[in-house]
Amino acid sequence: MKNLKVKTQNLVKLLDALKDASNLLAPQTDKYGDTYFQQVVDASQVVLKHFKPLMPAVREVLFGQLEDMITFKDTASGTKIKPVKAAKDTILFGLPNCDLDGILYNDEFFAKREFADFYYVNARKKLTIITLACLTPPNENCFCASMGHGPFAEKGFDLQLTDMGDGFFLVNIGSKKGQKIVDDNSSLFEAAGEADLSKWKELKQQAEESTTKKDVNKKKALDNMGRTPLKEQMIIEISDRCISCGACNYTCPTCTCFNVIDHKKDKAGTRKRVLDSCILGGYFRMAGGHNPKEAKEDRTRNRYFCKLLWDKEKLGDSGCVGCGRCLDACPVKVDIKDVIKQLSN
Amino acid sequence: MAKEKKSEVKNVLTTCIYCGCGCQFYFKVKDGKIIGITPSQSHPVSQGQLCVKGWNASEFVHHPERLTHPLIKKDGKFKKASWEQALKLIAKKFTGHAKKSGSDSVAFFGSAKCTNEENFLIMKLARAVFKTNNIDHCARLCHASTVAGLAATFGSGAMTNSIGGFEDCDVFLVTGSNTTEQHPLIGSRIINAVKKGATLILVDPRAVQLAKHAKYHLPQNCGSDVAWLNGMMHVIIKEGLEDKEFIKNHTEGYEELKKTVEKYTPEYVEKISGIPADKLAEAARAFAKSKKSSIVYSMGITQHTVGVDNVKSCANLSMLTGNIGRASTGVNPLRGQNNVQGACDVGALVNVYCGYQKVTDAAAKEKFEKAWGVTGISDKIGAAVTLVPNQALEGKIKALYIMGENPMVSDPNITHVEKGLKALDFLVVQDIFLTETAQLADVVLPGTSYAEKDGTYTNTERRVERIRKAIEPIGDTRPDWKIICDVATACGYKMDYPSPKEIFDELAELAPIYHGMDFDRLEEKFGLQWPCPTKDHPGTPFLHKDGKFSKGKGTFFAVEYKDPAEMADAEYPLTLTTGRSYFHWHTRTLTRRTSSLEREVPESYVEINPADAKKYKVRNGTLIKVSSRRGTITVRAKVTEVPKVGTVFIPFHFAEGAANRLTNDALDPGAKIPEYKVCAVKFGGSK
Amino acid sequence: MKRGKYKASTKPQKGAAKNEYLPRAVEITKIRDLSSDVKHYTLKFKDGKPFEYKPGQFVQVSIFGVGEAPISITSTHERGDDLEIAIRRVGSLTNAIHTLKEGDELFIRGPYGNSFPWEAGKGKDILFIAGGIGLLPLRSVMNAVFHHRKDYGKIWILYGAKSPQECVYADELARWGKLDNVEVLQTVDSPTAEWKGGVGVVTTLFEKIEFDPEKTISYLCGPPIMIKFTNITLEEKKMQPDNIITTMEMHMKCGIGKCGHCLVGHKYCCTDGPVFTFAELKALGAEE
Ligand SMILES: Cc1cc2nc3c(=O)[nH]c(=O)nc-3n(C[C@H](O)[C@H](O)[C@H](O)COP(=O)(O)OP(=O)(O)OC[C@H]3O[C@@H](n4cnc5c(N)ncnc54)[C@H](O)[C@@H]3O)c2cc1C
Ligand code: SF4
Ligand code: SF4
Ligand code: SF4
Ligand code: FES
Repeated sequence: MKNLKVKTQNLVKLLDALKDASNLLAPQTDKYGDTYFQQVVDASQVVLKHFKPLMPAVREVLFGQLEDMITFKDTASGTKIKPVKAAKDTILFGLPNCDLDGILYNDEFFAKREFADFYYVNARKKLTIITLACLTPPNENCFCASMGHGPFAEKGFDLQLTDMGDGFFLVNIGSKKGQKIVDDNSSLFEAAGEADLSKWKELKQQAEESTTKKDVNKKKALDNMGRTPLKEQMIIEISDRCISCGACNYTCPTCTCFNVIDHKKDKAGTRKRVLDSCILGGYFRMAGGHNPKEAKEDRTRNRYFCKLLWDKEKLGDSGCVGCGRCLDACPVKVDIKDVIKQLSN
Repeated sequence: MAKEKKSEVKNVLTTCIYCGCGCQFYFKVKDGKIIGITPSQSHPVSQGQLCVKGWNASEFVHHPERLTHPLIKKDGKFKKASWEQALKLIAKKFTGHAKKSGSDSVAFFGSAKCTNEENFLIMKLARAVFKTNNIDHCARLCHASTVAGLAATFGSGAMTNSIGGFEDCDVFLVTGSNTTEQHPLIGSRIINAVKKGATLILVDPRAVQLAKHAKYHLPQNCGSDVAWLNGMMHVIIKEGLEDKEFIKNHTEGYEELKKTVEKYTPEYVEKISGIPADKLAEAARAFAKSKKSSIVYSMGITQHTVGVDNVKSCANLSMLTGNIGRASTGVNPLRGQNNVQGACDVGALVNVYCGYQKVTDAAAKEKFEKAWGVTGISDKIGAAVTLVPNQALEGKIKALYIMGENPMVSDPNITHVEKGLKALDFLVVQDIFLTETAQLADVVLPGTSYAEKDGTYTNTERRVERIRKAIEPIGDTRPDWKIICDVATACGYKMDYPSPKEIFDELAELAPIYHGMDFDRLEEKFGLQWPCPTKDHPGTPFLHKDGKFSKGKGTFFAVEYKDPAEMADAEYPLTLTTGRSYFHWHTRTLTRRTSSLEREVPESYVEINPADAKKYKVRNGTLIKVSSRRGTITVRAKVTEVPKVGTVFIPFHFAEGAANRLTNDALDPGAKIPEYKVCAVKFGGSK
Repeated sequence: MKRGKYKASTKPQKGAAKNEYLPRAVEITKIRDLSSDVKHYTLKFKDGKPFEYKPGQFVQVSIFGVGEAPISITSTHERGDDLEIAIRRVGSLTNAIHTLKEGDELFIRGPYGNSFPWEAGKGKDILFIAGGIGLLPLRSVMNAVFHHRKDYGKIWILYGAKSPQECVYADELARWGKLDNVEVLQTVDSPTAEWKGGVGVVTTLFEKIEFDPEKTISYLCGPPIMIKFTNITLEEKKMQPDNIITTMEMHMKCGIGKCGHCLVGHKYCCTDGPVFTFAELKALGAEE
């Protein structure tokens, strides 16, 4: 990995150039105090401090809440259908590593298994990812290091930036796309020296320590999960509190479920997909009313099994990247860490 | 990188259209279409969270069944019409009837789903243009008793405290509110508070989700609320737990109350309410001993023929224990609709102008006549929503204008409502979908959804919040405020505002509680809580600070228990209570067009306790008939421990299997609210 | 902590991503009633291109504007059949399909799912057990087996339905029943006066047959409750869970392992199934 660095002012210049070349989405704070990915109009407004958006980055352009799939139109010679091609070149700037790993999960899930998902694959090809390493946890619910997913990225990014605290950002180049950005704007970058690199390593280690939760033992938990059923009392307690809002699914970077619906008026319409949530009873219910997961406890249990165990069996690692969003967005503060902790014993 | 035309992505902060919690979120808009929702993390209610309805509050906006142009009915069929044609016809009919049969032959329904500005304008249309006080809205059906009851006791008919204070309460008395389902982001705060150690007293005939978190779940017989509230006060006074200082300094009427509750011993109350005497006494002690006790209620208290009495009793209990006028205490009626508080505040009610200024008050009349440049505004209280069908049948009301309401599903005894609406000479419905009510209309006007317009809603904690235009109006629709302006102008009263901002300014000018607000101030933060009398006033998180009630001293009302209008008997042995489901909103106009919500509860059902199911041989999952003296419906049986024995529950959302074919339209004598929460039913058809 | 890494476990498809969600138009060439609420459809692809499938696979059927649903293929490619499906009226899409006429259009994508390992049963006796419309997916494997009749030993078909009106493929059952070394036994819950078969649940038919669990393979399909009890009976009769083969029905949206609805344990019913042996289902059940 060749390493470079970039001055803060030059980074702003870079963003300014990128916003003209492509659709640039980056964290910005609005006048009400909320920070989230927004289209960049003025590069100086971009937040250059590491941050965790409430909605994971994968929802921005790859797999959203409401997406058109196919348009259709009835004609005299039958219904004519056409796939929607919505994806445009996009650069996502400033995402944390949990979001990057979430996207890598989605890559395997949607793009690299049998029957690649057309819409995901198309959007993914057009996406460039510039991550911003978390020096400290963006909020107290983060535990990515405990799950082996951060807070610094090791692969999968096009560029990774780390705020070195001295007016410079260290730049890791992770791909050809990343290299091209650097090449196209080479005057903005400068070489990083040995001292920079050792300082970077130090920052990385500190960051890992600060996002490690001592009592979360992933390996033990996953092993136990395969062996013994989840502790019933805990599942019932969670499900008694849960108000079925769906947020733990909607905000999770590795939740991939969707529903498909048709909207039609007169002779034309659209087939769309809607982000779905397995906490909802209708998600499982079948024609005729039979529901294999009628009780909310069963659906609660489903989520933890899916996230922690089945994903491991399907994709080689648990689906939880430790971002803590399911707790951030949960009105009754259900914490997946509690589940993992109990399983760690 | 090849250059393509960029998509335009923007995020627009707005307020949830569903419940009174008033959560705010961002619409994510891409090339003019809403593609997602993200809760605001800084907003005091949402705090990065929403309930399932909020997360899914955008799908219906682009639904293909949206009305896109005006419709006029000819020979029983709707025909597409131009705005000019529709407005002309409306003007001709309304002015014609008013001229011929008098001002009170026309009536208007505002809407708790529409903005403050729109409700203000429709009440101005009724009062200034047509000189009638026949202007009302669905608050009549949910919290009319709150407005009346709390105005009488405290001087202000609204939730006294703030949602933010809930997590710090020590004791909650929740009654007649399925909080986790109807006000999810308040329900979640109660659950979180209990987890931190608060005590929850739940008085509800159904074992709703909160029952799992309640220290005392006391299932009462439907309609026995005055009795058990008096019972609690009896225990508190008898054991000397009342707040003597507070009573002495800040209230009046205590002695009479004391005398009245004397006979309501827990044992006597048990006979009426079915609540075990010792449990009631324990709960009363817990409530009285804490200094942060909060009463939370909703339609289980208000929708009774004794709704006002129930509300007054709640107020009595909070004053008796001094649990009012401080943070995390109070009497907290949870207002159902996103803007039912606002629609009341701005005067879409038969008896008050905006800011609760009485129509019978000559000074108020003069003030409004002057402001609006008219004379002859009526000082007679108008016809309430619930009285309109009767007056239509009697031929008193000839023309009705409904803005965004669906009484054909929401009102009690629908069969009667239908007759009433059909008896009208002329019905105008303004909505975004062709609702059951719109189908009966002569003219249908297409409004825009909340995503296509600016304005304000007032949530249950009196927070006036902005909604913001995120996309262009769909089809040939117009924002409701604009439509009202057009109608008024067509009727000969020039009404013209550049935007809702100016309407709000007029409203703030005329309503003292909103006086200090304007769009610029609302823009600064996430809105302001009324009363906000001056431009530098920060808004009011809780009312009646330090026991200084809006009306001076708080008044105790001694109230006696009365039976509900209809009780279970030999012929109709079960008690029916109605309410909502978490996943649907009101008449399902929006939620049935939201796939995830509709999929959850696609059809009506009746909850039956297993003991009753056994007794009446009802099998879970089968279709059964349920009848009352007013009608029969067919619904699916859901056998569950949720309702208590002898009580059944049906959600009111569905036009097929409509609970309101069964409910009783008996009214509270003062507030004219119907008794949705109690009527007698049986299984099987009626003779 | 060791770095977590994701790696897809199934084989990716070669070449550029095809849009699997885009269906092909078919024409309904023939419709016949199978029972009071089930209709049988013969379909022809409008683009004339071939469509290959195996017994036990399913297709996603849509009418644009109404929706899409998974439907089993009841025909048998082996025999050169046209594509055939049978649909029971239960909800919005299935009702809409029932209003279509011959010559009308439907949309189909697939075939999806694994298939019955019918060739593995060669040389053995075959026990088919179906309840209600569970016969629909089994018909494809039945026809395949009958097509290669000489490769198999004795064949039993046990079929149970709610009432005679709800029995499907009555004509074919009668025809099969006349073949050598084939026994067709039927039962209903509520019989009519003319009914000649048995009365009661499908497991009651076991009393009438004698099979060797060592050399028999059982194919089983029907409502969950019937599957449960039949399986108990088969196990009592010492049938190995490996030799009991069933198709699972789950809520499905995409058919291609993406939407998540059909997950059973860590397997997708749509791509890893819908055909499972009982041994596999037991292992998945233990995961939950
Ligand atoms: C592998 C497989 C093979 C099938 N084969 C056949 C067949 O050969 N013939 C046949 O008639 N039926 C078959 N079905 C069942 C058929 O898919 C459902 O009857 C159909 O989805 C109902 O659609 P609908 O639009 O008519 O009902 P809807 O109006 O969509 O729904 C009725 C209820 O079914 C639920 N539901 C929605 N989609 C599905 C779904 N995909 N699967 C199950 N439940 C769902 C809904 O939540 C709702 O509760 C099969 C199902 C599967 C999974
Ligand atoms: S399960 Fe929760 S903590 Fe884990 S990745 Fe998903 S949202 Fe993040
Ligand atoms: S976020 Fe919390 S309340 Fe919402 S569905 Fe998940 S666990 Fe339940
Ligand atoms: S709690 Fe109420 S306001 Fe908040 S998202 Fe849900 S319905 Fe909307
Ligand atoms: S049907 Fe979508 S994953 Fe199986």
